[in-house]
Amino acid sequence: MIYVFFIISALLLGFGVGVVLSRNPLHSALFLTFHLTGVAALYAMMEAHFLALAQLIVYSGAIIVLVVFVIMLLNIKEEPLPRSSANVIYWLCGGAAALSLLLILIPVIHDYFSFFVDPYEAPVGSAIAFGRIIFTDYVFAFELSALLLTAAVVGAVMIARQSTQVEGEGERQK
Amino acid sequence: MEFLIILIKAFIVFQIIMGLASFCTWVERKGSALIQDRVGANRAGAYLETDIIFLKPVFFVIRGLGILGVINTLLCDAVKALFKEDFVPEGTSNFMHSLAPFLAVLPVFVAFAVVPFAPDFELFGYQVRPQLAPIEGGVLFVLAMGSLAVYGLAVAGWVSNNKFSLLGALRGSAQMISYELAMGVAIVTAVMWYGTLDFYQMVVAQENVWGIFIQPVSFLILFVVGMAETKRAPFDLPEAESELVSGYFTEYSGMKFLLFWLGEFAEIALFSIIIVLLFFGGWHIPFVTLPENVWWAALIGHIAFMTKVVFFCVLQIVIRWTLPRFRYDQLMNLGWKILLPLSLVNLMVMAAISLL
Repeated sequence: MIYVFFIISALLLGFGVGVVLSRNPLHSALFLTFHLTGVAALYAMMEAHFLALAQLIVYSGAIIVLVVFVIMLLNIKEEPLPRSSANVIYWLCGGAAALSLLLILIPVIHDYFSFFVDPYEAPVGSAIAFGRIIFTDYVFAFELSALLLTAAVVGAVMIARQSTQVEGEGERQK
Repeated sequence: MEFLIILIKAFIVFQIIMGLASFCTWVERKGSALIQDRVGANRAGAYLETDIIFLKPVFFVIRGLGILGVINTLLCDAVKALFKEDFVPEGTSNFMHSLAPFLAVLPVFVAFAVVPFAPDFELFGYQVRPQLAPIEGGVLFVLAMGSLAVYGLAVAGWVSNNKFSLLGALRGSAQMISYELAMGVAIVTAVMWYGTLDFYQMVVAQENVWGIFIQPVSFLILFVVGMAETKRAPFDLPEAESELVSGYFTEYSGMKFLLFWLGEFAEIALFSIIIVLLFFGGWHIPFVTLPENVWWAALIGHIAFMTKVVFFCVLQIVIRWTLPRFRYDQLMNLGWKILLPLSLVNLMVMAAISLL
């Protein structure tokens, strides 16, 4: 099982690098899709079946599809900017940022690998267990995040409405 | 041994997919001819003769299949597609162009893994569940794979370097995203009523009363949305041949073109299967109770299941060849202003009923 984990992780790293490095926006979006699907596979390996399926439906199935849709709608071609030359300062800053992130993540990674040493015993990944946890222990955070998403949607609609109103007035003045 | 059983199951499921897809192809060709008062494919193999006496009955059958158009649609077309030149438009990457048909076919085929094709049975001392992947969230898995199927058409339209393909892909992805909402809510209604995400348990719950008698509105919504998700007329805006040549697969030829069609027919079969599992009692036969855990009962159940599935496949094809195409705004209005509110109201009503 641990070999499967390493294979998936290697693929995930590859896809992640692909998202950043590919110059064609659609290639980036597809790499991101593959990456998120791989994350779903990791969830499934941790017996979190419901979370894995939700990841597939929400991220790979809905959000990235919308991203691809926008890319096609705006007809974005290859990145028009010239290739930036590899500056030493860029490399240093990027390396320092990556190193500090790694330092933050070391405890998490350590916990993650100890999870393989002690086999996971209680399978809490079923939809029933998942729903029970979300709607009892974490119901406050859950409702708050719902509120946050609603606020984001209302904000997006407000911005879109404002711009159309301005355009409409402009047409009327003509 | 476990591995061998899974391998055999995978082989059988693949055969069922290919069988249903080829059956749909044949009904599409010959049935459309019937509906449009044409003759249809009836030549290839219809005049084969032999002098060898013991092969005469075989050739009689072949001639019959030829007159019915089976040989033309299933054998000759496939061979033709295999030997055709593989055309890739200029200025696109060959790899992405080849990737698109696979992205269109793969999710649909994988979704068949969670379909239970018959009740459990015992054979040679082994307890067999005729379901390739008996996972708990089968319904969610099918939903996830259905939403992944958009990528095939989006990538195909993008890499074709053709404005018609791009327009087709745009229309297709917009349509699939819009109709997925109503589909999700309709399926949630069914899931709420049965209280499980597992297809097998849903079918078991319908032993006495089929789901169609309890929630006819959910069935209606799911059937309409299924027609839209498979991108067939009257919802075939993505490939509207009078406007967009052939939509998102205009630039595809040969086997790649055939793969798109294979995916589409497999999708028709998948939707028929979902409808039968959710609303038409799966392998249950009305007024007949089959003994449990016996192989012949499972076989009869499987035949009953496949009969229902084939009925819905043919129904979808008949609708496709009967109704004219929607206009684009009508399509979006139907999805967002009629089907989505209707499915939400249906969800509320069913929730209230199940609480009573």
